Amino acid sequence: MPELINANPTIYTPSKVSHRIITEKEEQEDFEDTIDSQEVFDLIRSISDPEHPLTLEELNVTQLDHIKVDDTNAYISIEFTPTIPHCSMATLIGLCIRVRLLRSLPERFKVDIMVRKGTHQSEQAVNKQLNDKERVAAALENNHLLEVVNQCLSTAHKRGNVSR
Amino acid sequence: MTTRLYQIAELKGHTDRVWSVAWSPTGNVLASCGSDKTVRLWVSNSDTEWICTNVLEGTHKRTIRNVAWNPDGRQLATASFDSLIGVWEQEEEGGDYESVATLEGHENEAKSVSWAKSGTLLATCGRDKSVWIWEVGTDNDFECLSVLQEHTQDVKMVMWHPIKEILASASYDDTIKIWKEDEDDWYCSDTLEGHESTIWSIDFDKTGEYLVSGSDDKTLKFWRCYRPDNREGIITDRNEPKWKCICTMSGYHQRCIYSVSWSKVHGRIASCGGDNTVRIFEQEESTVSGSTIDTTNFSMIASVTSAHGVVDVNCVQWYPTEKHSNWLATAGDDGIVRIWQLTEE
Repeated sequence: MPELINANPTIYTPSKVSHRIITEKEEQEDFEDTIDSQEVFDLIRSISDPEHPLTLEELNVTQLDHIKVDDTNAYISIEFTPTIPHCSMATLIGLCIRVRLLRSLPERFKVDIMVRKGTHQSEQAVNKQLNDKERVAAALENNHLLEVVNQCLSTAHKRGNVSR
Repeated sequence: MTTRLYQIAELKGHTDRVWSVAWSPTGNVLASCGSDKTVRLWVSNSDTEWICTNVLEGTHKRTIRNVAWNPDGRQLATASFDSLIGVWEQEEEGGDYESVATLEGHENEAKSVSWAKSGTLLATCGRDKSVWIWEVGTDNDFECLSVLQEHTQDVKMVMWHPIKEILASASYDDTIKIWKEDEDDWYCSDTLEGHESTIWSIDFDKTGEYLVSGSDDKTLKFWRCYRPDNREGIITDRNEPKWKCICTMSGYHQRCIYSVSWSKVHGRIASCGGDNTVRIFEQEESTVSGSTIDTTNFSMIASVTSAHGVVDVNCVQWYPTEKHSNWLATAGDDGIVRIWQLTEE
């Protein structure tokens, strides 16, 4: 087995706010669903880490407080925190978050994904790559990379309800 | 009098994101390409009725990022994420387009292709940080003259000067470089610094004395070429002309600018980007001033928000000739190509 980048990551207990409570109003068919930070967090919290059998939430990579949603202007900004400042998986994690949102959010949303300030030594380079749509499009035409991304996303639907 | 852009046609056929559009030199044909790995050619029967006459496919295994016409209008070149440059030619009038050459050399994604005015040189660039200059020989024989590796990152676009054999390249390293030939040797004669992020697109005005650039920093910059011994007193090196930024337009685009186009007919500039808008700018009548640098001002005269609905506009191109010089074509993430007309009311 290849050497892990971060062999002993700190594991966090998932937050209690796991599932939102659906109100009666929201269940009605003509209800127009607005997207909020809780919804975005639910979409990405259970993505698996590329090198551990843990979710991004369990590794504290994604946090509800670091997601900003402006539904009116269809804008979302997400900051994620790599487990260690020299994490070479940071770009891959960011790509997984981007792909998850590309596949699940209405297309009107513009999404900026960034490493949380001061948490990665190549912060600017990672951010630039993750927000360059041409680089993202090209990466997703790479079958090997796409397979890795899909693997990480295979747990994403759990929305925080992780039981093992 | 107000100036307004309105849509005159909607061209549907691509099954995925459209990255680029290119008018043939006469304006008779519009080529478009994108993530569905095809090039589509469109002609109009009337202003509003357009048909797709040809679909060029088979050569590229991945996204076709860019398409450009040879100035003679007989050949098309394509740049693809599969690293290849394709060259296509129409067998006979009204017939199919055949792939007549495939240029190998780029290590990974090729991103842009441009033909020099003479039609005898082709430039290409890509993620491998290089710019390649190819000589167009007879019988579709393309010979690589030079591989220029001075950019430190991904090269997003190459564009030839409208008259001379001078090339400009725009990069993810936030700079634009100007390339010239000296006895078969191509060299970088100037590096244009000032943008704070990736430069996605560049275009010259019809004289080649001005250049416009559009960047991820959400600004458009206008650059002017100053020759040695210019009357404005701009210092030049090594007897080379020096490009200086003469105007920065910020606050017009809210997100990354993906494309700029400078009309060679009427001099207006169009830009578009990730904020879903298309904006049109015009050079203001120059005012006499006492300053040594002749600053030029541009102002926005028209715009369309949501030009392709809620998605990004990837490319904008003015119609090339007098006939419909107020037309422009745009390409969007919605897989649609649209034709717009600028009108004064």
